[in-house]
Amino acid sequence: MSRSKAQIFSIDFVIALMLFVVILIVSEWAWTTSVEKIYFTEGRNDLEILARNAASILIQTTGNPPNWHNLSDFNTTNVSSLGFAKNRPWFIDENKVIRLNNLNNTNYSVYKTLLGIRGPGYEFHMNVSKFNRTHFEDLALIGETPNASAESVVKISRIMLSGDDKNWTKITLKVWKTCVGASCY
Amino acid sequence: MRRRIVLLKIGNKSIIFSLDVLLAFISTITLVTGSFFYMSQVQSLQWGQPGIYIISLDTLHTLKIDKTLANAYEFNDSTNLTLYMNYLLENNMCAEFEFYNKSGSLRLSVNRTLNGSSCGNSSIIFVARRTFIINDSVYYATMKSWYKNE
Repeated sequence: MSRSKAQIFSIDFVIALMLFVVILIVSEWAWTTSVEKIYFTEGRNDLEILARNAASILIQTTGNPPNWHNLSDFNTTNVSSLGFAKNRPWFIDENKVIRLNNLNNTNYSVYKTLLGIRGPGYEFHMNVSKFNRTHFEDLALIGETPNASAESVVKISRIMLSGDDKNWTKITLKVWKTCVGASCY
Repeated sequence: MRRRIVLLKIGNKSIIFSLDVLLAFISTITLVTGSFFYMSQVQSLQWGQPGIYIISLDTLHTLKIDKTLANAYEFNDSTNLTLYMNYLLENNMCAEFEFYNKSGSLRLSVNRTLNGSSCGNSSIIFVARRTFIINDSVYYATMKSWYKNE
C-alpha cells in the first residue's frame, strides 16, 4: 500500500484564492467604515434629541413638584423633573436657577438624571444669563464645560423672560459626549 | 445551449475561464461594493435647521409678551428689535422682521446686520409668524431666519 500523497495546486486555484482574499479585505474595510459612520451619526442624533428635549422641558415646565427649589432634600426621590418656568412657560423663576447653581457641586449626577441625559459618557453644561439692555449678567453656570476629550458637542440656545421688567434671559445648554474607550475614533 | 469558455495560456499551462465565472465575479463585486456604498450614505440630520426655527418661535413669543412687537409696529421703532438681534441671536444667524397690518400691507421691515454689513441671502430660509394686538386690532409679524453663508 503506497503512503505517498498528492496535492492539487493549480494556477486557477491560486487566482481564485487571491480574488477571495481581496474581496474579503475590501468587505471588512467597508464594513468597519460603515459601522463607525453609523455609530457616530446615531450618537450625534441622540445628543441632539436629548439636548432639545431637556431645553424644552426647562423653559416650558415648572418642574415636578413646582416648588422643587424650596425642598431641603434635593434628590431623585423628591424631585421627578426640573423646570425653570415660574407660573407659565417662558417666564423664568430666578430662584430656581440660583438654587440649581448652588447645588451644582454635589448634585451634578442628579441633574443629569432629571434632565434625561443618561447615555454613556454624556455630560452637560448650562449657562443662564440675563440681558439688562447693556450686557449679560450670568445667573448660573451649571455642569461641566466640554474638555479636550469631548467627542461631540451639541449647543442649544433658548430665550425666556425674567422678572417684572421682562428681561431677556438666554439659556445655553451644551450636551456633550466624552470619549470613552472603544467609542473613541 | 453552448457555453463560452475562455482559454488563457501561460507558458505550457492553461486556465479555463467560463462565462459563468466571470458573471459570478462581476455580480459579487457589484453587490458587495453597492451594498456598502449605500450603507456609507447614512447622513446626519441637519439639526441646525429645526434649531433655528425653534429660536425664531422663542424670539417671536418673548417679543410678543414683552410688547416689543406691538411697540415696534405702533411707533415704527426698531431699536429694541435691533438690540435683540445683536445680543440674543447667535453670531452666524441672520434675521429679518416684517410687520403687516390687517389687510396684509407691509408697514415695517427690520434686518439684522453683521459687522456693519448686510447678512446676505440663503437658499434655506425659515419663516415664523406671530399675531399681536394693539387697541383690539390684530396685526402680525414674521421673522425670517437663516444661517449666514461663510
